[in-house]
Amino acid sequence: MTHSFGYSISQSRETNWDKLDHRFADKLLDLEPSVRLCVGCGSCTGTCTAAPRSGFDIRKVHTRFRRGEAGAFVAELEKCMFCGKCSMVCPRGVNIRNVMDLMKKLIEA
Amino acid sequence: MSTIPTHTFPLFVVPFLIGLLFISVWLLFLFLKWIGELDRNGLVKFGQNILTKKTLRAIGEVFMESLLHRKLFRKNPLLGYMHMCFAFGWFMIILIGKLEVIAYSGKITARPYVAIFFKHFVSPEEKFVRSGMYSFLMDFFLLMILSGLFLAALKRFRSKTLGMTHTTRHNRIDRWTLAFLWLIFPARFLAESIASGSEGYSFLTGQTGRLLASFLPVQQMEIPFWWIYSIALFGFFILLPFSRYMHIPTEVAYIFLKNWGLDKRRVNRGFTNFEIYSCSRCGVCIDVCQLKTQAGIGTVQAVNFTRDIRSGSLCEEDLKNCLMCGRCNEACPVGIDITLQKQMYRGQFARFDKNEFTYLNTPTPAEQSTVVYFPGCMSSLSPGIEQSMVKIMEQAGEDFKVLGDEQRACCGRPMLLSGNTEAAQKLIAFNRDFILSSNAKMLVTSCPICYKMFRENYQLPIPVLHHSEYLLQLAETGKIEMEKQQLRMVYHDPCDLGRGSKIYDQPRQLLQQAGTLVPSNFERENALCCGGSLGNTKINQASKDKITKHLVEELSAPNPELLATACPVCKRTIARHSSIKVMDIAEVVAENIRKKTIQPNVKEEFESLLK
Amino acid sequence: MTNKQTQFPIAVIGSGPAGLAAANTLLALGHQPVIFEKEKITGGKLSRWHQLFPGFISAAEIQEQLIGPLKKASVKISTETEVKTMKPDSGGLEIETASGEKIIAKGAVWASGYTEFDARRKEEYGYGLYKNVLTSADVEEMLAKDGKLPFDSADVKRIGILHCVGSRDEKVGNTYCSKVCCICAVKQAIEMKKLYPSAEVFNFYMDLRLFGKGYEELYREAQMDWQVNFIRGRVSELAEDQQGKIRMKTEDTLTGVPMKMTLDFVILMVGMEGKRFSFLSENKNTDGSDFISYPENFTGENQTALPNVMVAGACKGPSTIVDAMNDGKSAALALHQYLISQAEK
Repeated sequence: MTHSFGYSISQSRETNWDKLDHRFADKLLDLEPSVRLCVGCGSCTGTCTAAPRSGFDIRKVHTRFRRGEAGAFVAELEKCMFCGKCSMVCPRGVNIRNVMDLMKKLIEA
Repeated sequence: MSTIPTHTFPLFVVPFLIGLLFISVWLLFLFLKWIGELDRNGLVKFGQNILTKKTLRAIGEVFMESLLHRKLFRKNPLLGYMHMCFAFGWFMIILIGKLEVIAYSGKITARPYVAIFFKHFVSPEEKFVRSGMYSFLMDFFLLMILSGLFLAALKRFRSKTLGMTHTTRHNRIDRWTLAFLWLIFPARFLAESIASGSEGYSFLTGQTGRLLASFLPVQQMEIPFWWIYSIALFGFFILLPFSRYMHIPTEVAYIFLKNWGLDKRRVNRGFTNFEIYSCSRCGVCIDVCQLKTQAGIGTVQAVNFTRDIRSGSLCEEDLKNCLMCGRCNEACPVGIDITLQKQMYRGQFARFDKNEFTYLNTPTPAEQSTVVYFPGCMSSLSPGIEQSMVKIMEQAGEDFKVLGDEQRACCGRPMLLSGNTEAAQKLIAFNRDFILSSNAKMLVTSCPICYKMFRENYQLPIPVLHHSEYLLQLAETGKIEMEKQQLRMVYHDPCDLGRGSKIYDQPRQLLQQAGTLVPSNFERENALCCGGSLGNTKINQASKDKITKHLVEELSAPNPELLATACPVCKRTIARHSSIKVMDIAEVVAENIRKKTIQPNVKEEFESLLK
Repeated sequence: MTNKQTQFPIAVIGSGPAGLAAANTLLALGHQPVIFEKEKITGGKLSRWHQLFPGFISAAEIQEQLIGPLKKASVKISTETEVKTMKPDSGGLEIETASGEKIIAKGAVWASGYTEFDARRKEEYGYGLYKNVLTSADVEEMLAKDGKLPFDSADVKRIGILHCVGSRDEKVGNTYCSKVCCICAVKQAIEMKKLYPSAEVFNFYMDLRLFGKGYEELYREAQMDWQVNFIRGRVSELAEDQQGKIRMKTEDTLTGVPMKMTLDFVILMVGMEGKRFSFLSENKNTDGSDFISYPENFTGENQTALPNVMVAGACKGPSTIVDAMNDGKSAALALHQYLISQAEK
């Protein structure tokens, strides 16, 4: 179960690109191409309504997902309140709420 | 021609009887099944209200909407007339036909097909009580239907004449059903005309009959034409449940359920079915949808949604690509609450419903105050709104506290709109406790999204006010006064405040105290969506921009000096594309508030001291 | 050259670095430049700046170097004269000013400069609402005027500098990089440390784009000699507390956690925006900006839709002062070459 992974203990020590499963990430980029525009500025996390209390970091979660570590942060996604502020501030126009939705969809599938 | 006894059984009535039997049994079975699917609450309402005045009201509504099509008339008189011809005309033909049979036979127990094929049984020479009047009325309503048919044919080929830019495409079953429907009345008309022969019933069938009899062997043609008429009815009745014309019986049932007060806010399969199948697929919702008209997205409109549900091909991508602005709800002649339906169906694709929000344990109690001000998440991206509210409330001498953005949670409406009902409930529970811990007498919010949520889903024991209502109250009670400026303003109705919560007048009254309001082409119920809607999780930035640019064009058309709105999302979205200054209503008030030198009560004290 | 043509001057529109450099070059090439300046004073944005990156050279000094030779040669500079439009004329070019005056010139260098991004459009930063939020332009002007900022050094413990305000931001409609803000932010951070030695200075950035000569060195200097802190995270929101202090929210992207900080005052590094002049370019820029578009073909980068009008400086896109001056010279030379080729025909 993905829920048993803690936030910090489950992180792998390195990103071994050769061994990671990139299918989920590729699918995500396919379904929501705007995610490619992310420059990792952190505006989304900075404005996030859930972040101050929960430490939820959408930028990091989505980056790990794109690196091929799809399952590692799934429990994190459950902190999101879906308020939409992230999408409102993103300087690159990434449809972040759809990215959230799709990440969950891909993991659950 | 001679009269045939009404107890005879001509063979051509068989198709009609089979059709009638089929549709009666089918509808009965289906409606009972749906009623069985109602939840407990729905069943209770059903039982409680069936024998009340509400039923009478429903009958009235059925008459006005299902028969006369009042709402369609308002949209386009020609389109309304066309529908009225079919619905009201047909209804009258059935009703008068029945009365005619009763008048003729003196009994009410005549076989059901006698009224339908009356002119086969009774020759024009045979007179009975008011037979002339009956003949006349039957002809009159037949003519009415035929005129509607003419318009319908016109609409098929030139839909713009009837005020529709986009219309729906029929599927194969729809086309067959339509063909049978169109065949019914011309067939009846010809059959009756031929049956009247050279004698004639009334002005329409009589005259035509005489004309036909003058050059055709009408005697031999009568039975074949009754067959055509009967088969047309048969075809229509058999196909109806599987076509868009299912809306005719369903809409009637839906109006009754609606009037009996069945709760639409619940996920209620039974009721949902009645609503979905009430859609006539008329396509009125297409022209009002900005996703279609501005962004060219044509697969997500209300008609597509109901069609996809009926055919079981609803896809997530389309379902989530909707601004939930409610413009289609306003336009729908049946009054289907599409946004609510979509919200419920989105539940099938809800992925955040298990969110526990464990980090939101128990709220730290809020500071005590009379008024508690909840700016909303989006207001923190537009801090001028909160700052203006604080300035105004301080000047008005209100006892208020602002709920800090790190203490409160999201109101839950974005979760609810995305179908995550359970998750929304958890956010509601948290915020509700937090708000009530302030022991406030009133909750004020600047965000229409939060406002709608508080009003409809929080069940708060204290009044909830949008800041436009609240500021108007302050102005009306003399707590604040505004300097009226030479300022031309256009007001933009936010979706959740206007169509969503029916707050149209308060913001306008307030703005009129600060300047002059000039109307745009899209006011009140007809207001456009800014495109920034939180209801849509699929739309891309480019499509949003198209919608916003069009809105800004429309708002700027009357050349105002200021665009005023009452929603932080609208404000940000509009400001991005507008060269005219955009302000929230609170900012307009704060900018034009008249400074009070002496508070009234202080003045009184001062005067009493002098005495 | 015919007599008829020599009797007309060459118009230079704008007296900023690009316009002044062009006028100087035209003068050196034997032409007679006349300068039109929309504002009351000459120098364009340069007249408002304090010290220039990367060497902290006084802006006034540079301006004097540019304008001195022109004054000496009695070049006519018409201030408060806005050029509305230009069209071809038998003498070369007919220039019409906003007041309706018509001047004939044999050619023109268009160097109308840029406009600063109006920071109020970035609502979440509260510019215009919070008294302790300034723009980079405000800081330059205050320093140029008084040599100080209106904050008492005893009160200033922490200063925030926000990069990319109005640049690289689809939400305000500017997707391009304004190019100079990063280095300007590094320069202003050092200036802040000079003014408030005991305060901490934090620069919040999404990328540092320090491409010019001496820029990277200044960055190192800011880190080592001035202890400026660089935090990688674009600031999401600023809020004002009751004391007027600024509460900042961002993500510290390098540690991957949300971050908040209280700041005594904040400087917004505002970007550059263009002004479109339809008679100069028919094409729209690929980035959707309002800068004047030009043929991006390496050799004709000063050309416009009119053959005897050359375009130069920051009206073409974000530009440093040095680049604007070089572009002004280049435009002057391109115009000179064109006029010679016409005379030979």
